[in-house]
Parts: sequence; C-alpha cells; structure tokens
Amino acid sequence: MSAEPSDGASPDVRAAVLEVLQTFNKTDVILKHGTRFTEDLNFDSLLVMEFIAALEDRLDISVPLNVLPDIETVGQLVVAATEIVREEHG
Amino acid sequence: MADLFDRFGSLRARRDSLVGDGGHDPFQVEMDEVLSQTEAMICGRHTILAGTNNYLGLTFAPESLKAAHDALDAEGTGTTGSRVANGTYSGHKALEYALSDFLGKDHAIVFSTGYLANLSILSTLVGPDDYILMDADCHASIYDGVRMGDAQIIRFKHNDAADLDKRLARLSKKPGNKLIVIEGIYSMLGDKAPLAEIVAVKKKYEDVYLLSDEAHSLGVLGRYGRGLPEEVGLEDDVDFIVGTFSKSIGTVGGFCVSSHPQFDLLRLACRPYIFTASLPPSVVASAKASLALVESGGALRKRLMRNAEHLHKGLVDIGFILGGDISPVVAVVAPDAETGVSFWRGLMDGGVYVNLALPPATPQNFTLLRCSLCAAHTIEQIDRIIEVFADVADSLGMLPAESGKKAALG
Repeated sequence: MSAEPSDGASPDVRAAVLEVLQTFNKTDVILKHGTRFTEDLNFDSLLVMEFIAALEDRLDISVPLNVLPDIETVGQLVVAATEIVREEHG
Repeated sequence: MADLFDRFGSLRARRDSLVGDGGHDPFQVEMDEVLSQTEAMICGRHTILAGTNNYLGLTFAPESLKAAHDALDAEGTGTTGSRVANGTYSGHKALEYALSDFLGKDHAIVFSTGYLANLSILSTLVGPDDYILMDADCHASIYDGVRMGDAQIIRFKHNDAADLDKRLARLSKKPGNKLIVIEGIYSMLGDKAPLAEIVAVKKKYEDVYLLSDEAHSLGVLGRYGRGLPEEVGLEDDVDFIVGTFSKSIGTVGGFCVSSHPQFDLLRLACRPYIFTASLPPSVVASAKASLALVESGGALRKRLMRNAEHLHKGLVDIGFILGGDISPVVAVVAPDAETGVSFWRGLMDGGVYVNLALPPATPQNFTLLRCSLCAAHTIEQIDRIIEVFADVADSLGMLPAESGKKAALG
C-alpha cells in the first residue's frame, strides 16, 4: 500500500476522511488507501452510519446511502467523497 | 463442491451458537392453540401473549368476525387476482373510502400487506432526481422500499429534527423533491416521533413532503385513533400516511392515504400493488369492521394505555430502566444476544411470550425483549408478566439496573 493511485482524489478530502475515520477506528490497523471498512476495521452498519454522518458534517456534504454498497475501502470513499465535494461546493 | 447455501455460513453459525442447543427457538414459536387475544397454548403451556402487536384486541371482535364470515360465504376464499385485474371487489373500494374518510384525506389505496404498502410507495413515489430523508430507526419495509427505488437516500439521526434540518439545508440548493419518512411510534423501543419539530423543519424548505408510517400508532394514539398526527393536531401537515391492518386492525393488509390530487396514478405505477394478488374478501370485510371499532374505541385506548403504564411502572419498580415514552411497546434491553435468548426462554418457561429482537434489526444494536400490550390484557395478566420478568432477571443474576442503563440512553 505504498503508492497511492492517482485517482483525482483531493488531498484535502483524503485528510478529512482519515481524520474523521481515525476517531472511529477502534483497531490497531493503520489507515491506508486499501484499508477495508468491514474486514479490516470491523465496521458494522451502525458504525458505518455514525462515521458517514460525521464525515458529512466535517465536509458539509450529503452522502446518499446509495453510494455505500460500492465502497469497500478508504480509497474508494475518498474518491466518492471528492466527487460529492466538487459537485456540491464547486 | 460448493453448496448454494454456503453464502449463509455466517448466518448458520450465528443461529447455531445462539439457539442450536436444542432449547426453545425464539424464531420458531408455534402456537398450538390460540385461546384468546391474550393467551395461547405453546409447547403444552398456558402462555400469556405479550408480543403480538394486537393493540386493541380486535382479532376476535364479534362485528369483525361476522363481517368476515359473511364476506367469506358470499364471495369466497380469495380474489385470485391483482387489484388492477380481477382483484378489486366492492369491498376493497368500500374499505378505501372508509380509510380516506377516517383519516381525512382525499384518496386511499389498499395493499396486500403493510410491507407491500411501504415497498410500493417508497420505491415509486420518488425518482432518481429526488431525495428521501429517512429516520435511521425506520422499519425494514421502509429500508427495502427505498432500496427498490431510484431516489437518493439520506438518513437522519433518530428523532433528531435538528439533524434533519441540517441535511435539508445541504440539499436545499439541489433540484428535486424531498420526502421525509418517519414513523408515528417506532416499533422496537416504542418511542414517538417529534412530529411538531419535524413539521416545523419541513416548512422551512420548498418541495418537501412528509410521510408517516403509523403502523404502531394507528388505533393507539389520538382521541379517535388516527395516530400521532391526530394526537398532536398536525394531520394536515402529513402528506402521506402509511399503515397496516395487522396490528390494531387485527388482520392483514396495508394502505396509504393522501390528498394529493394525482395519488390514484400510483395504482398504475406501484409494482408491489400490480403484481400481487389482492386481499381476500373476508380480510377486507373484517378490516373495515375493525376500522369502525377503532374510531369508536376510546375505551379500548384507555385500557391499552392503563396497561402500558402498569407494565412500564412494574418493570421500572423492579429495577429495569426503560426508554422515555410510555407506549404500548415496552422494550427491555438485554446485555447481549446470548443473555437475550436465555432471558426469553426463562419468560417462556414462566408462561410469558414476548418478542426477542436481535441486531441488526434493532436500534443501536440492542438485544431487546420487546413486549407489546393489548387492551384486552387484564391487570392480573400484567402483574404476572412483571413477576416472571423479575424471576428470570433474578435467576440469571442479571442486575436489571445494569441492563437498563442502555435503555435509558435509547
């Protein structure tokens, strides 16, 4: 997990995701691009909801439930959140 | 070789670890004989039923039984058809008129179950450019309905109008309609929606509609049993009311009412309405008869609330700390699923049936021993329920105060 893919993700959004996620991370897992929410961080649906709500507040965005099934990793969330931030805040 | 059912491996493991010891299975209860609204024989034991959602006890109302018998004899055991084909009889239309009349809306559609009512409305009413803002504690039928549809789904924190406000504010610049979805009484903990606060938030924004699922509050709240909107005097502010016949109405079926002038178009658009058979005439007839009893059921509601208060107080007195609202749903939190199963079995051995509710079907991943009361329960029956709860908590060495702390948070 050394090289981060160049996916157009915003560094600011990446930093925000990691900052919020770390407050929900109850494991010793070091957060990386490929860290998986369910398998690596033991997130259940309740924790996912609380985390997403906190991220929405941090970035002032709306993350529809619809996008969540396609998001397994931290990197995928950063990409999706970047898209939403650009759409909502220009 | 791979087995088709391998994908259920974790479910099987959880079931086996929780109830695989051959003891009484909370999810395979069989009523050998139903004795009344409040009693049945289960495993040869005379059991008080305290988890049936039969709030007003209308399952044996003489008027409803007679209406069902008459319709059964006159029109047969089933319609064998969809509402849009051969499955609409005069009884279905009469029930729809009765519902719209009772709830003060211009239109009503009857569905074959409450689950299908939510699937129908939530999957169809809103499109890809619209938003659903749903309370996080909404019932599975609401979750399934919105997943079946194309709208963008936003959840707000349970019963938190300020959180809803924040989310609507973020969406206010986006085009598209917004539909807020709440429940009058939430099924698991029995708490009510803060409807006045939610309506106030709704009114701040444009193109926002409000849908309330009154499954557990119809017949229960309001002077005439029209649910939470009647109780708080905000019926005109709720655009769509969804409900079920399988609780206070005492049979099976669902409905939605609205005064939107084009509401009837949904009959041609809702797939769970079109592609399933309609309710049998006897069910429709008993629903209509029971609906009239709901409206005139002030005395039943008083008994129900008396019973709710009695059970609530009794459980609090022996040390259980329960959630805020006193309602006909009384949920005791168990510390974990294993204790929940042991507790439930202890209650069954003592002749008391309640629902065992496990995560993820519960708010905040609680394990719940969920009681629901009936107007037909006697004070003696409720005293017995309290006594058995106390005995089981005692035998499990389960300090009620400890288990209750979480409930107080909920």
